[in-house]
Amino acid sequence: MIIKNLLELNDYSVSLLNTSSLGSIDFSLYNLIIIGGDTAYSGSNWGSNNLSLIIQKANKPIIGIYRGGAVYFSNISLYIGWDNSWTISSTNGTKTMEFSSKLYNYPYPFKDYTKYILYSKLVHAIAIYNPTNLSNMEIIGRQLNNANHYPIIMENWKYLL
Amino acid sequence: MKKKDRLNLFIILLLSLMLLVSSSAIIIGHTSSTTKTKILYIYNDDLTTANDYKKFT
Repeated sequence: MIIKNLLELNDYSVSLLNTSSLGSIDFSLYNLIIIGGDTAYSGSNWGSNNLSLIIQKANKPIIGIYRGGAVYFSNISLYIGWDNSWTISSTNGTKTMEFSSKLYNYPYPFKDYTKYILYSKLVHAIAIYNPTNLSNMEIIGRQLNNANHYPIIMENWKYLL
Repeated sequence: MKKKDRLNLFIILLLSLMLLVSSSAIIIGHTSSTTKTKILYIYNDDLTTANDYKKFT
């Protein structure tokens, strides 16, 4: 698993859990939860709402990845979920993202950050439609050549897609 | 997933971790810390097929 290996190589401790075992886990042992991209393949099959709430009640920061993360966030009624998103893929020809966040000015300004491209070729991602930049959103990565869709976005400084 | 893409993904993850676990006593990047940040990764390989999202797991 690429993500697990990358994190462990950088001194993070990563435990894997299949969704079928969610009911038996002690979430208090963890600092962060990652919802894997493979936990959904469409907008309606992440799992039961009950399972989603079990995770949310753990009150931990959560990173949601790709479809699984987006569907999960919709299940717990966040804005940064599947219901407010579209998929970036070869079908719409979008290939890259631009930075778009005040984070790039802290602690020191990252000059001209908008000119840097995060991905230089096609990537598959879920991008959240956020035209009015809601106050509880932190927009980190914006879809290239699109003013309103954000593949990297955080809600309430706690949930990140 | 190619090496460059993995690096990009890794940078995003590290940035995310720094933001989300900032309340922790752990100083990100100081590998001498005795307490590692513990991450729970939830997956469902029953849904993992040959589709594109497999790249993200």
